This record gives sequence, structure tokens and C-alpha cells, in this order.
Amino acid sequence: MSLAMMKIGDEARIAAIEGNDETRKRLETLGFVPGTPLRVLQIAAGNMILAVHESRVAIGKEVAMRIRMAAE
Amino acid sequence: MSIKIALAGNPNSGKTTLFNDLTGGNQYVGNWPGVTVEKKDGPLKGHKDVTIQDLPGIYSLSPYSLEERVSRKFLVEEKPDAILDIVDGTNIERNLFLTTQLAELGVPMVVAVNMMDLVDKAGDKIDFAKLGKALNCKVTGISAKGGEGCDEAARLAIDYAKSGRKGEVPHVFTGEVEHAIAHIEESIQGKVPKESIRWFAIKIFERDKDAIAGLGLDPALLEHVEEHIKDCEQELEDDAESIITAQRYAFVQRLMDRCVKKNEALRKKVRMSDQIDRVVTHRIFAFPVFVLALLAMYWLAVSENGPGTVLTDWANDGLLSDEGWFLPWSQHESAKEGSAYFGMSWDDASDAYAKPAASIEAFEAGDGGTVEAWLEDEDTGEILEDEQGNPEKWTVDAAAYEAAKAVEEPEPHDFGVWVPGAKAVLGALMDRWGVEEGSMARALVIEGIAGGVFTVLGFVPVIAIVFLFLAFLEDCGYMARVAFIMDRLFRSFGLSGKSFIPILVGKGCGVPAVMAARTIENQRDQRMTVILATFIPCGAKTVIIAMFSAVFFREWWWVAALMDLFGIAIIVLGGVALKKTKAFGGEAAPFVMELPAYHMPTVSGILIHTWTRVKAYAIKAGVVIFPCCVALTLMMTFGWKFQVVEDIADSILASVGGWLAWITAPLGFGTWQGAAASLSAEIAKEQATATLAMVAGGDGSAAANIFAMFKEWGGADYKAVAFSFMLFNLFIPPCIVAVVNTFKEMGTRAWGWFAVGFQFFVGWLLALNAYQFGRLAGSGTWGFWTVVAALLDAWTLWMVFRPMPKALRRTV
Repeated sequence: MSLAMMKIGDEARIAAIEGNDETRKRLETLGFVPGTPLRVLQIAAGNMILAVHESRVAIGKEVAMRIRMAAE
Repeated sequence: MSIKIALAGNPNSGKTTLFNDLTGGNQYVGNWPGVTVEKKDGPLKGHKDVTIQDLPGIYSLSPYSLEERVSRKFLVEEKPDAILDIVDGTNIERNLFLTTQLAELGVPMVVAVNMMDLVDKAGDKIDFAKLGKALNCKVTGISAKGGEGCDEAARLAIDYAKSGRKGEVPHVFTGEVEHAIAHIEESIQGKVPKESIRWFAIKIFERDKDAIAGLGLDPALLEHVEEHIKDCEQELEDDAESIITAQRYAFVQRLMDRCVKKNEALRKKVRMSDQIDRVVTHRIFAFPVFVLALLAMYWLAVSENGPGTVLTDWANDGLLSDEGWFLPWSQHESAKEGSAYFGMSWDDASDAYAKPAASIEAFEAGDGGTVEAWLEDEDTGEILEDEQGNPEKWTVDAAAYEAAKAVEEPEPHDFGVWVPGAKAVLGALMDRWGVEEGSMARALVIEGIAGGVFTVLGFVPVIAIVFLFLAFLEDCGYMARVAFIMDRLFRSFGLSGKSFIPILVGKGCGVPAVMAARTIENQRDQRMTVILATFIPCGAKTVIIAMFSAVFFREWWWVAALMDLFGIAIIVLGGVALKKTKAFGGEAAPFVMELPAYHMPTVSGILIHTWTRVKAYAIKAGVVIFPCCVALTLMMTFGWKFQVVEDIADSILASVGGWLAWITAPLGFGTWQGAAASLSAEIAKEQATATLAMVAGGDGSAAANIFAMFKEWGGADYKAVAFSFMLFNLFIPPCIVAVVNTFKEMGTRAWGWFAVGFQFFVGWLLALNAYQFGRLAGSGTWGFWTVVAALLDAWTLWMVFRPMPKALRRTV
């Protein structure tokens, strides 16, 4: 399931990030590696704010669509 | 022996606070060579020969951003004696990710876990000893905000630098990856510095060309290594860099399990920061909240009864004026026995004395014969009228003059504690030194120089409020949210939300605004943001708005808001137009941004932040405006042969202005005064108001003189001329300092000139429209330039609204 389909308050683990570009590297640096749990804090016009470990990261809609989450 | 300590850490980890604490604010700020990345270093206070080198805030030592490349170049090539790694204790996992990379360099390292006060409050426990052992570094706790533990951390770093590092670099990786890296280490033995061999081996595994470029490694060796890397990639079904990153985080997780105990119970509570974000970034409420914040700023700064206007009026009409002001609590009705004004207030007494005062002034200005006298409106210079609407004038002959002189003049000090204004004091000084009223020297100093500088200083309250507001927004963490809130809107015309922050910063000053564009990853978008950011009226431009509103448009809060709207409109439409060109076309970089937790800024923190900017503005008055006014006054007084000119039209300034008047002629102010004022505004925007006051000449207040001058230029259409002048100076390129910084941020001269050219075209066209169509709507006059305006408008609108060229269409 794509991260973009999750709702506010949902929590799931990252399965993989599609594509292999600089955006993916930046996400990984910020902690978006497979197995890491993410919690959705906010959704606004498709852009999202996520809780990753103790930090809060905002991503655009197009970025969220590339992140695949593990089914629970 | 001098010791160099590198200070590294994530953005928002408190690094700047720590740096300021260690150096006592004593720092040298410049740029890393060849790049627009700030370089900051300073001596460690209390120690001779120890320098703290601040590195940019980074999340990793990858080669993808300028900040990262600059940092790792320094760490690898300039070999600091120790690294002080600051880690945000409330965000440990992500911060330790960088720590593992720094540790692999083999440099003696001290990890300072910051925000321990918050860690303790959250009930978390960190075992420094265990953590230190696992990383083979020294670990200590600090709270940079309160200055706790910082000296200890620095001392540890110095000791460690002196004793040198022993032991192995932490082994972060497992399985085939570890195996491959060990193999690579063997192959590069002797070719790289011993202590950093692990770091280089990992870089080779990640195929980091930038890191290994300088090593001169044998291509055959790299080919051989490539085989091993490919094996790992196939085995783990991922690419080398991602494998490394994932394993690092796995290592960090193991560290967390062993060394950190989080208080899960407290963690269940929703964080205050998240609660605030629920509203502030909400898909419906976010924008209204932002607009409310802006309205609050307007109200405080420029609304009629808000603190900004009240204080500025006090400054212009009292503190710096040629009259004076009462200490507010001391003002009372006259208690002078026997006085005609006994029991009256100062205002009533002044009004009662207005006619005798006018009679005296009029008679003394004449040659001894009968004259006419009248009362004027202070701001516009218009003659006051009686009930029937006729101008109220009366004649004053010698007898009437004597009678007027006999009337008791109200003395301010009967009504309270009176403080004379700065101009009045200057006048008294001139009297003391025997400089006569009406002499050239007196006019030079009081009207020319002091008048010019005071016009500018009077607006400090308004500027200060804007800076204070922006400082609060930045320090509390809201700025980052603003980028998130604006992103989808900005994306609809090709930019990312990150382009909005420089615009908001630009409301204070354009110089930090163009520098703030550095956070935009895409160079093309960064350039576009730099070109557009200064269209939002800055503090200095607000001075122009304030003056013009007061003189021509009455209440000015809505003019300020209108000019901001114009600015935003130019930014949006300009952005859309530029995005349709080949140079700037293409989608904005994907939005990825960390949102630091909100925190209540300390009062002292904000005040310092604000004071730095206000001080710069006030100093500008002394260092830039004052010499400018002196130069302008001299240029106004003398002709080319250095003779004193009778008629100001023969002065140097008049001819210089005259050379440029052809540019401003179609805009309604093709006079040497208008051109000279606009030119002077390039030195500092607020100078325009000072210059106008100076060249307007005449008696009465600056406002009245300027009003009269514009009436002379525009006749019935004087308001169109005023509006045009204001638009011109607001929207052409910013002041010279901002332009210099624009050139720097754009990178090349060619781009710098493009930016300036674009900005000039916009400002000029707007002013052209204001005058040509304002005049058409007013007196119905039009001419060649009206047609030109219409044609240029058509072309501009086409550039904005034409369909996106096929080559640049989105590929989704």
C-alpha cells in the first residue's frame, strides 16, 4: 500500500521506496529505511507530515506516492 | 600548539547556540571558498590557540548537497584535531546516523548530547559510558540553551585531541557488507591515511566518486571491487548506498536498545508541538491562521492606532522635530496664575495662539508693508477654510503686527515637562554658534543633513516591529511550517513551498531574503526565488510607503497591504512567466523538509535577534544615509565650477538628475528631482524620502513641500504621479547591498544582470501603467507612452498566460 493512501493517525512500517534518485537518498538519510515505522500526523492537499522516530518530516504528495508501506 | 576543533551536527540540534556559548559571540563569518555556504569560526573563550570551526548543519556526509561536500572536504583534507559532534537528545536516532559517519573518520571525537533538560523532563535515560564505548568516542551531556556542560565538552575535546585516539572505529556493518568493506580496506592499505581507512572503504563501496577522486586509485582495483559490490547488491536486492544507509540505522537501533531507555508512558501523551501543528498545518485552517498572523503584524506595525504608527508619529513630530514633546505623564493644564491660558490644555492654547503666530510670521517675512496671513494644514500645506468654504485670510498691517506681538505666547513648560526635539536642539546649537537663520550653512545642516537622516530614523519603530515579528516566527519554528502550508499553492505555478520563506524574510530585509534561498536544492528554482524574493516590500521600502500614504493617500495601513499584494502578484505572475521559459522551466524539486519541534523562544533570544537587525538599520542611517545626505546637499548647493548656485536648477544634482530624467519621463516624473531621488534610493531605499524632502525646498513641513512639488509635476494628475513614483521605487531592483548579494547568490554576472534587468523592467512598467492609465482615468490625457504601456502590458500578459511550451510540459 502506498503511503499516500494512509489516513491521519495511521501507523505502518516502510516496505520500500520506489525509484532511485536523490530524493530517495535524502529520505533514507532522514530515517526512511525499510522496516522503520511511520505515523501520519497531517495530510493537506496530499502533502503529509510524518513522525519518523522522534523527528517530524514533511513530504510532498508526489514523494508520498513513491513510498510503499508494509501491510500489517 | 594550536588546536582546531570541528563542530558538527544536524540542523536544529542547537549547534549555533553551542558555538555562540563556546566562542562568547566572538566569531569570524565568511564563505567557504568558491561557494555560497557560510563559514564560521571563532576562538574558544578562555583558551589560547584553540579554534572552533563551525561546519554547516548536515544530516549526513553524502556528496549531494553543497553543505555536505564542504563539510567532508574540511574534515578529510584539513584534518581537525578533534570533532565535537552535537546530538539532539530528543531526536537521537537521526542524529546518531551522522555520528556513525563522523566516527569512521578516525578523528578524536566528543559527542555532546544536547537538550538534556528536555531529555530529563521526558524521563528518558541515556547511558553515556555505554554509548561512548560502542562508538569509541567520549560522550557527555549538555544543555546549550543554559550553557550547561559546554565548557566540559570543549575541555574533553581538547584533552582527547592532545592524547590522540586509540582503538578501533566502530563496526557498523554486518554480513557480506562488512566482508566487502574489510576486503576493500585491504586493497587500499597505504593509499589512504590510516585512521580514515574505514571511511574511504565505505565511500568506495557506495561508489562515491567525489570522495575518492583525489586518491588516484588504480582503475583496475576499482573494477575488481565493483564485482564485490555488485554481489552484495544482488544478494540484498538493493543498491549499495541504500544498503549502507539501512545498515547504519540498524546499528543505531542496536545502540538505542543497549544505551538508551525511553520513557514510554510519557511518550504516549501527544506532544505539544504536534498538537499545535494539528491546527497550524491543517488543510483548512492553515491558511487562515497564516493570514491572521500577517494581519497581526500589519496591525502592530502600520495601523493607525497600533504601536508602530504611534511611536513613529512621536518620533517624527516630537523626538526628532523642530518642536518637541511632553513626557507623557507630566502633561497638564496650565496652572500659571494670571496667564491667558490658565486652565487650558497645550493643544487648546496652541490653537488659540495660531492666528497671532501666523500674523507675526507673515509680517516679518515681508518688507514692512501690509501683508496677508493665513493658516495652513500641517501636512498638505493647503490653506484652511472658513465655514463658507472660502480660504481664511486676513490682512496684517504694522498696527496689527504690534497687537499680535503683544499677545501672550503659550510657554510649553507651563503645561508639563517639555523636551525639545532634535531639530530644535540643533537650531539652538546653531544660534549658540552664531550661525544665522536663513544662512546657507544652517539650511545645509538642519534641513539638508539632519532633516534627511531624521526622516529615516523616525521610522525605526515600524521597522523594529516587523523584525521582531519575523524573529519570533523564525525562532519558534513556525517558518518551516509556512513552507509546508504554501507548497501546494506554489507548486501550481512551478515552485516549491521552500521558495516562500525567502519572501517572508524579505518583508524585513532583502539581503537575508536572497541568502535564505540557499535552502532550495534545485539551482534553477533557487535562481528564480532570488530574482523574485525582493519584490515583497522590505522595511526600507515600507518607509517610502508610509511617507507617500501620509502625504497623498491619507490612512496608510491599506496602502501597505496593497503593496504587499502587488509584490505577491508580481512574484506569482513573474514565476509563472519565467517557468514557461527554457531557462527556468521544469517541475520544482520534490518537497522533503524536517519540521523542528516548536519551542518558545527566549525573550532575550528574540530581542537579540531583532536588535541585530534594527541596529543594522539605524547604523545604516549614520553610515549610509548621513553621508548620502551630505553629498546630496553639497550637490544641491554647488554648481560644476564649485560655485554656490542661486537657482537650484543650476546645481550638480540637477544636471545629474537631468541625465537620467528621460528614463522617468514616461512615468510622470521626468524631472531632475524625481530622477535624483530614485537614483539615491538605490543606495538605500529609504533615502528616496529623504532626498525628496531635500530637493522639494520651500518652507513648511517636508510633507507639505513634497505635496507641492508633485502638484507642480502632475497638475491635476498629481496623485497618479505620486503612485507611479512609489511603484517605481518599490519594484525596481532593490538597494545596492541587496543587488550585490543577488549577484553573489545568482552565481554568475550574466545571471546577476538578468535578475537586475528583469526587476527594472517590472518596476518601470508598473510605474508606466500607474501614470499613463491614472492620467487617462483622471484628466483623460493620453499619448505615445500610453500606447507603449498597453503594448508592453499585452506582451507581459501573453508571457504569463500563454500555454506551456510543448517541450516543458509535465510528463505525468
